[in-house]
Amino acid sequence: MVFRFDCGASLRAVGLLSLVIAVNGCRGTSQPLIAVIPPTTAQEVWESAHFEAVRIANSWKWSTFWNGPSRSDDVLRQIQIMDKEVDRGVAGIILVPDHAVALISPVRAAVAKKIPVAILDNPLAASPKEDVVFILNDNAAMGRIAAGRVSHYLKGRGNEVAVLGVHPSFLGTIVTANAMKQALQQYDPDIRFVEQRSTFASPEASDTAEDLLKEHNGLRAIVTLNVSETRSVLSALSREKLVGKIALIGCEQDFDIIYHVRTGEMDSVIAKDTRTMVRDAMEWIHRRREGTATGETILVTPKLVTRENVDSPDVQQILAVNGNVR
Amino acid sequence: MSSLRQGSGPRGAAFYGGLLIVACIVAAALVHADRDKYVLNTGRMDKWQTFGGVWALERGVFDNNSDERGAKLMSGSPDWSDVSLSADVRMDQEGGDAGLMIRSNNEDLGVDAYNGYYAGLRAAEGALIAGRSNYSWSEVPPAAMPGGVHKNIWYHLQLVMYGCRLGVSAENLSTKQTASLVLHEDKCVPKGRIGLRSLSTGSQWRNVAVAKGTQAQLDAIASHAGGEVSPEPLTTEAAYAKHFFGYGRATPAAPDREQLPTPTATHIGDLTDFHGEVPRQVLVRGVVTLTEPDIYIEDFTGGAMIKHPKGPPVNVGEGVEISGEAHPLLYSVNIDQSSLRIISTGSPAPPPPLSVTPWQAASGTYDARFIEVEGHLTRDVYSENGYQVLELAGGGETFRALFPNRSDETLRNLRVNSLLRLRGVSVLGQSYTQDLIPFLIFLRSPDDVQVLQGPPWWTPWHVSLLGVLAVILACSIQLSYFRFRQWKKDAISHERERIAHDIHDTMAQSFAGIGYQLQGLRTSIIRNANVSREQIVGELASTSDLVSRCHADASHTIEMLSAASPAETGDLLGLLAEQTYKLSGGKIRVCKEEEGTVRPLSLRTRGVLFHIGQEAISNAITHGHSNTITFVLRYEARSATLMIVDDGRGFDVSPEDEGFGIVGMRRRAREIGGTLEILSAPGVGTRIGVTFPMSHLHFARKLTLRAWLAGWKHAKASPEPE
Repeated sequence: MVFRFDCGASLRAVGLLSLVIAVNGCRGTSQPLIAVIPPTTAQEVWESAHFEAVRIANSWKWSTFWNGPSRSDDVLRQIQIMDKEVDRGVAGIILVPDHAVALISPVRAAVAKKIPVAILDNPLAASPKEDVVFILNDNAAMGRIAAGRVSHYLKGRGNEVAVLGVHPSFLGTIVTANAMKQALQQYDPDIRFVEQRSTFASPEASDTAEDLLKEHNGLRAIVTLNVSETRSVLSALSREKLVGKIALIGCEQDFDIIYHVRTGEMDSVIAKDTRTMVRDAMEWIHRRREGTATGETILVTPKLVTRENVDSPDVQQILAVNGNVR
Repeated sequence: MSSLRQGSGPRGAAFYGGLLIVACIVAAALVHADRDKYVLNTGRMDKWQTFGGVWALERGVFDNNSDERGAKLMSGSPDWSDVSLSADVRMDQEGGDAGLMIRSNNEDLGVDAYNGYYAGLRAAEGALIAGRSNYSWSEVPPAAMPGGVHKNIWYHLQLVMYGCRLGVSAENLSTKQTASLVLHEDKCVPKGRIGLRSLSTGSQWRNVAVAKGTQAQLDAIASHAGGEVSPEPLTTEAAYAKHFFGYGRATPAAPDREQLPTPTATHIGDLTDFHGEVPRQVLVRGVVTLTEPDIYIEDFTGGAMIKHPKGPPVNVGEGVEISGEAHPLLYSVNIDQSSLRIISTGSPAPPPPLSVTPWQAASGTYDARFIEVEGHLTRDVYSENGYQVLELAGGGETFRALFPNRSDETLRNLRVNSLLRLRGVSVLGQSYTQDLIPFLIFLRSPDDVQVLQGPPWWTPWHVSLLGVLAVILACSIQLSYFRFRQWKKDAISHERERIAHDIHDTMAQSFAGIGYQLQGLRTSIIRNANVSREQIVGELASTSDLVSRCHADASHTIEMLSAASPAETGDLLGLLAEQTYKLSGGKIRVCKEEEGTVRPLSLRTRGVLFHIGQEAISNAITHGHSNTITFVLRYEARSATLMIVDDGRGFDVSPEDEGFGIVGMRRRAREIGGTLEILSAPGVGTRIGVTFPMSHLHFARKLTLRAWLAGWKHAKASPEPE
């Protein structure tokens, strides 16, 4: 038997294979990719947004990218992620900004490339434009809800109430604090407010909380505007043996924070409905791509979580990462 | 074998195609072999890739000196599939977790920013954990570690990934207590790199080893585990509360902070000389920004160096409380004779650096602060006093950056004149700067150096090299020009010589004949007055014939000189046939034939063959009185032959008697490396054969689509016999 090596056929096969590979390589993916950039990752409050974005994207046969800084004040890292996604030419970006001003330029860069951007939770220090929508936590409502809870603890006149976590980088915190003050002054015009800026470094936050407790004996309630502040105040209250004596109302949820509501160490938590925010954002981007949506501001109402209602289905649904209460 | 030899045309292309396939197979085999080679370089840090953290490698021990959440150090092959990975792990804190990654892909900065598996020890729960991340974490129920998980204890971790099952075992190397668990997924990550990872605690890893994972290894771990579970994300708050704490138990999140008296802390920024009287004994709180060579902390007002603190070792990013003796400096403060306690762990990385210019750093405002600054590297990185030293310049300032001289060689790859962005703790003071520079920066890891821009291409060396290349290029062009002119001159000279030969062979001889005829007639008339009128007419008739022949020769020469260049036209045999028709006035029958696999001839070859053919045609018409001329072009494997055969009178072939015409044909044949062969005898016609080599065409040319298609058609038309 004579073995015949058909060189021509082999060469043609290689050529055909190369052609197939090249064609497949050039096709790439046609699925629209949505980048979701939270203020930080591995926090339940934003993991629920992640889960919802993936669920919606799957139902549309779209795909998502998810990543954020490892801490909420690492603005530089968030800008880097944003720039990378803009360069990649994603179909849309959902951004929870870590800074009201510093993120404006990256957003403008996205808009220049016709990438629709949804800003969640806290606004930028700019107005929404055609390619930019603000889907914000209703911070004024949050302030009013907090005021409602604080009012339960006011005794007589000359009470002191502290607000921790106001930060100019997060414009929503200013709105919340102002709304709360305005509402509380209707209860007691003589009420005194102690306001302190937020810091994300634990020792400083802890210092701030301890100093506050020592210097203000008339404190009736403390309202914290982010989970870092809430944890610091909880720690300080514990060390100063003031748990239960000063009401603590938190304005952002994480599973470990909610636990303190269950134990009674905290009065309540006002939970942000991040799932609804991201759902609205996905739908807006979808409509924007079809040319039927334009820039606007949408407010999403937060939910009060107390020891009494923490196990109710509607509360658990907001808290749950996958939106499933079972 | 024969088929390969014959395939110098399209088959040659196929041959090279076959070689290409073999090369692909060999390359694939090499890649496969590399994939199956389970080797880790645990001696050089530059063989690992960092994603966050402050990493160092000292005598085989990897150290992440940072509490950053999700700091990763990656290595290995992205094609590793069934892997056994083991290491001893030690944590610095009673919080956070530390462990190993396996089959990891697509890593990035971020807590869960990878696609793969992670297993480790979690201090808060005292448990062995394992799970899967795809930029979102899911885990299996933790396995309780007997005796809990504590800081400063070495634990041996082993991960065995086989198929879609991950077996994890841990052993407390002090108490020999163990725990195991097995994770499985229906759709698993098929392959990936390995890595070290920690979350919210500094940690060390030693004896990091990798090998091929086996079913037996996995089964051995599974025999001690309590079943196999798929990872699930914690999705509800209620489940979280039940899972971790249970209802009604003591508060979990009030940190395990010591219940010590807490005097009011002083802001670090208030401790400098500029703030008037400074307390000698102070209590400050801050975040650790540097641990080597000294501990530096900072709060939002300033930074301080902590000298010889008594207390536990600390990591970058941890919150600490320091009480000690303050020694104010001009721009910062040293705290000596101090005691240190950690007041917060598991906080994220140190605060983002303050981005300043070199001038601002030199102003002292940022002394002992964690800063980010840019500058150009002015010389190669060198070692001095146990540090790798980077000398930089920017904004009119010169400064240095120092990194402990470990086995990490990454910084030595930096090129002079690169624009760098550095992060580190800025330090002023004569003891560090020796009054040579205004400030220096202590780097924490090679990741603190980012190359913003490589050195410009126009370094003196590059400019010199470019100049030399330009000179060489100019010389080459000049040489080529001279060679071209010489070639052109030679070509003209050769053509003149050939025309001279032609004229000599034809018209010159005819004119000489005419001259002899006329001279003979004249001599006859002068010497013999009785020359008859008939004789004179006969001589003149003969002379007239010679003039006619001479005219015909001149016409032939002009015809040949004015013939179109064969390079400009197509078929060589067709041209020769046309030339025969013109020269003979259509009286000669022409046959032409091609044999073998037709291949393209070079322009030079076509030109030479055309001129030889012209000469042969002219001879056949002029001397041979032929009726038929046949042109045959035969292609062999490595050569080809042009044969011109006529049925004329023929002649005796004698090398001594060869005229200019034949000599010219031989010379032309030699120009293309060929030989000329003449077979002839009186009465049997003449056969002239020119055999010449076929040039070896370039491989790429053989692979052209045209050649490929020609081979395809030829193979279809003439299948090779068995």
